[in-house]
Amino acid sequence: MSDLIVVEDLTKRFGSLVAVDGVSFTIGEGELVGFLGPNGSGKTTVLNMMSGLLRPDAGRISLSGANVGGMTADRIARAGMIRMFQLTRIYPEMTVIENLLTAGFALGLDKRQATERADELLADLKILAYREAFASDLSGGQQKLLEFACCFMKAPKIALLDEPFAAIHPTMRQTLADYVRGTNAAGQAYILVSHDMPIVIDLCPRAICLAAGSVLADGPTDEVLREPAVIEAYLGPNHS
Amino acid sequence: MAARVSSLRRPAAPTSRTQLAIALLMLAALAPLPTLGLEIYWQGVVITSLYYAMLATNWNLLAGYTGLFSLAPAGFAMLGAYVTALLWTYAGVSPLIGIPSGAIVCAVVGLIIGILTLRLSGPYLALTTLALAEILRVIALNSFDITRGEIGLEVPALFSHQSSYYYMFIVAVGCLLIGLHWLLGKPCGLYLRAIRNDETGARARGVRTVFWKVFAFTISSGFCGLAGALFAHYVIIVSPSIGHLLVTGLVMSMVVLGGMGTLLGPLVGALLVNVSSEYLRAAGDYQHIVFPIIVIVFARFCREGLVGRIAMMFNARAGVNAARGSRTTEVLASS
Amino acid sequence: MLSSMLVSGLITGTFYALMALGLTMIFGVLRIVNFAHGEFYMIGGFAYVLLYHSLGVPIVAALPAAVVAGAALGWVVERLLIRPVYAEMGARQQGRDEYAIIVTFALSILLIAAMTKIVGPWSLQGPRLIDGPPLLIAGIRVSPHQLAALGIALFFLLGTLYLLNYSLWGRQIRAVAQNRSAAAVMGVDVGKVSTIVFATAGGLAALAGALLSNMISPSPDVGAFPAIKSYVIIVLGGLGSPLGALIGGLLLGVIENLGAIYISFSYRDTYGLVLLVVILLVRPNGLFGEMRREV
Ligand SMILES: Nc1ncnc2c1ncn2[C@@H]1O[C@H](COP(=O)(O)OP(=O)(O)OP(=O)(O)O)[C@@H](O)[C@H]1O
Ligand SMILES: [Mg+2]
Repeated sequence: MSDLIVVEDLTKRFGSLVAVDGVSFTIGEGELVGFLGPNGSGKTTVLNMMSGLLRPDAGRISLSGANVGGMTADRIARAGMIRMFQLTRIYPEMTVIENLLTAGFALGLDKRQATERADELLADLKILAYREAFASDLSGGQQKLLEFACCFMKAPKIALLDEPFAAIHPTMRQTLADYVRGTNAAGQAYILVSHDMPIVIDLCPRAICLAAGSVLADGPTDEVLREPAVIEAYLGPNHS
Repeated sequence: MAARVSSLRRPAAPTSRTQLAIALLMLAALAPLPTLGLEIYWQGVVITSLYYAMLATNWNLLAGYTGLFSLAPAGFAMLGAYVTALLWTYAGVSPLIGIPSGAIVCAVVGLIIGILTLRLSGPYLALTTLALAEILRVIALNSFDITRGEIGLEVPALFSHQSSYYYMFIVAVGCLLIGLHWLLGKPCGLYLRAIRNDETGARARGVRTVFWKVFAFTISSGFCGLAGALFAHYVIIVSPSIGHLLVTGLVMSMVVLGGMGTLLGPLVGALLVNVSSEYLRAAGDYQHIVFPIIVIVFARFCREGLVGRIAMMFNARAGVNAARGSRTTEVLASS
Repeated sequence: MLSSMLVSGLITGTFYALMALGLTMIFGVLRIVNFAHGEFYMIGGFAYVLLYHSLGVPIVAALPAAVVAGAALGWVVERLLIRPVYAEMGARQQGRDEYAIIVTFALSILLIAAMTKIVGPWSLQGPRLIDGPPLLIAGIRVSPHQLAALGIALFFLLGTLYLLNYSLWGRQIRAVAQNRSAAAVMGVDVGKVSTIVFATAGGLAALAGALLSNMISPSPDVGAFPAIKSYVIIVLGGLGSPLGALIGGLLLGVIENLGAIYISFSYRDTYGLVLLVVILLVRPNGLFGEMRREV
C-alpha cells in the first residue's frame, strides 16, 4: 500500500496550551482509520490543520506526496482532501440541491454532472424528498447527512469526518455507516473521528488514539482498544 | 413531502425570475411618464432614485448576497465622478471616455482594497472602506487648487433634455439588474451566497472564497463608480458632497428596507426612500432621522425587508403546495 | 522642532488611545465594531459645552456629566440594540456582524442628524478647564488647559488599563473576551460584562470629546475623524487588544504629527489610511493581535 497521507510531527499551541503535540501517522490508499480520544484530546485540531483551516506551529502534512502545508483550505479541498465538521456547516439559506451544486461546481463538475451526482447522493442517503427544501428547514440529523453528501459530490482522495454519527437517529446512522462501508470497499479512504465505539469497531480496521495532543496508540482497532494506556485515557487512572 | 414547509423563516428565492420581471415592469412603467407630462422636478426625483438604485443594487450584491460590508458606495461614486471631471477639466477628455474611466479606476481601487482586506476574516473591509470614503472626501475638499474644494468642478452635460437622462438611467438600472440576475444564475452566484451563508464551510468544500469576495467587491466598486460618473454628467457639477457618508446611509436604508439579498429590493427601496425623502426634506430635513430609525427597526424585526417578506409569504404558500406533492423551484434561474 | 512635534504627537495620541481603548474593548467582548463610536465622542463634547454655556453648570460638574452622558448612551445602546440580537443569533457570527454593522452605522447617522436638529450644524467651542498663561516645559509651549486635559486623559487611560489587568471586573472582561461561552460556564454574567464594556467605552469616548472641545469645537459630525482614527488604531494594535490600542494610539499621533511637518499639514488626516494599508500588508493581525479561533 502506498502512502496517501503522511503527517509528521504536527504541533499546535493555543497560548500556553499544547493542543496537538508532535503527532505523526501515515494513511494508505483506501484505508478507513478511526480517530479516537477523549474530549479535548486534539482530534478536531488535527483535522483543522490537515484541511488547511488552521496553520500548524510545526510539522508536515502531505497528500499523495505533495506538501499541503502552505496551501489554502479551498485548494486542499480541490486537491482531494475534504472534511466534514463536528458542528454542522451547511448553507442554511440555500436549498438542499443548491448546497450540493455549490460543492459540485467548486470541485469542477459541470451542471449536468453535478445535478446527476447530487440526485444520486440524495437517493443513497434517503433525503431525496428534501431536494428543494431550504437547508435551514432540515432537522439536525438531516443537515448532517446533507453536509456529508456535500463532501462526496466528487469522490475525494480522503474524507475527514468529524463525528458524523453524533446526535443522529440510529436508522440514519445505519444509512451513513452503510455508505461509508460501501464506498470504502470501493477504495475510498477515510479518517473517522467518533466516540461511538461499536461503530468504530464495526467499520474501522485500524484506529489511532490521541490523548492530550499526542498519539497514544496506533494499530488494529481491537488491539488499540485493549491497550491499557487507552483504557486509562478514556476511563481515568483509577480504573481496573 | 418537503420538510416543515409552513416555516416562515423560508428565505426569498434570491435569483428569482419573477423578481427580475417585476423590476423590469416597474422600469417599463416609469419610462413613459415624461411623455405623459411628469413635471421636470419629479423627473429629477426619479433620476436620482434610479441613480441610488444603482448604488443600492451594487451594495446589495456585497451585503445581501456575499455578506460583505462596504461603507464606501458613495465614496466610489464620488471617485468615479471625479475621474471623469478631472479628465475633462485638465485633459479635455470626452465624457464618453471619462465615464468608463471612472468605472475602471474605481474597479482597480476596489481590487486593491479587496486584496488587502478580504484575505482576512474580520471587519477589515468595513473599517477600511469607511476610512477610504472619508479620506477621499477630505482630499477632494482640501485640494482646492485641483478640485476647487466644495465649489466643485463643472462637467459638460450629455444631453440637452432632462428626459434623455431619465431614459438613460432607466436603461442603466435595467441592464444592471439583468446583468446581476445573469451573474447570480451562474455557479458564481452560488459561491457568493455560500460565502454569506458560511464562509468557512465554503472554503472547506473547495470554494475559492477570497477570489470570489475580491471579485464581488471589484465589480461592485466599478459599477458604483460608473453610477457616480453618469450622475456627475447629469448634475453637471462634481463636488465632495456626492461621497458623503449620509449618502451611504441612505443607500443602506434602501437595501435594508427593500430587502437584502433580493433582486427587486434595492430598486423598490430606492424609489420608496428617495421619493419619501422629498417630503421629509420639505417637512424640515427629517430624512436622516427617519431612515436610520427604519433601518434599525427593520434590521431588528424584519431582516428580509419588504420584498423578502412578501416573497416569503408567497413561498410559504408554494411550500404548502409542495407538501401536497408537486413543486418546482428555480434552482438556477438562468438555466 | 522634532522633539516638540514628537511630544505633541504623543499628546494627540493619548486622546486617540482613549477613544480606541473603548472600541477595542467592545470588539474584544462582543466581536463587533461600533460604528457609532465617533458619536459617543460628539455627545460627550456637546454635553460638556452645552451644560456649561446654556445651563451654566460649572466645569467640575460638566466634565463628569459628559462622561456620564456617554456612558449612559453606551449602556442604552447595548441593552436596547446589541444584547437582544446577541442572544438570538447565538453562534452565527455572520448574522451578528451584519446586524451590528448596519445598526451601529445607522445609529451614527441618526445621532448626527438628531444633534443637527437640536443644536444646528454649527460648532461650539468648549470652555478651558483652567485659564492661565502658557507654560514653557522642556522647550514646549503648553497652556495649563492642555496640561490638565492631558493629565485627565492619561489618568483615565491608565486607570482603565490598570483595572482591566488587576481588578475582578477586568478579569471578567478578559475572560469573556477570551472565550465567551467558557466564561459564561464559569459563572461570569456575560450580558452584564458586555453592558459595562459598552458603557465604559461610551464614557471614555465622551471624555475625549469633552476634553478636546476647546481645541476642536464640537459640531454634529465632529466624531467622524476621531472614529476613523480609532478604527485605524485598533487594526494597528490588533483587534481586541487594549495594550495595542494604547501603543497604536500613541504611534498614530506621532506619525500624523511627523507627516504634518515633513509631508503636508492639510493632509494629516489621510496618513492614518496609509498606515492602515501598510499594516494590512505586513502585519494584518496588528502589533498585539493574536490569531482568532477559526473553526
Ligand atoms: N482555536 C482554539 N483556540 C484555543 N483553544 C483551542 C482552539 N481549538 C481547540 N482548542 C483547545 O485545544 C484542545 C483540543 O481541542 P479539540 O477540539 O481538537 O479536541 P477534540 O479532540 O476534537 O475534542 P472533542 O472530542 O470534544 O471534539 C482543547 O483543549 C480545546 O479547548
Ligand atoms: Mg472535536
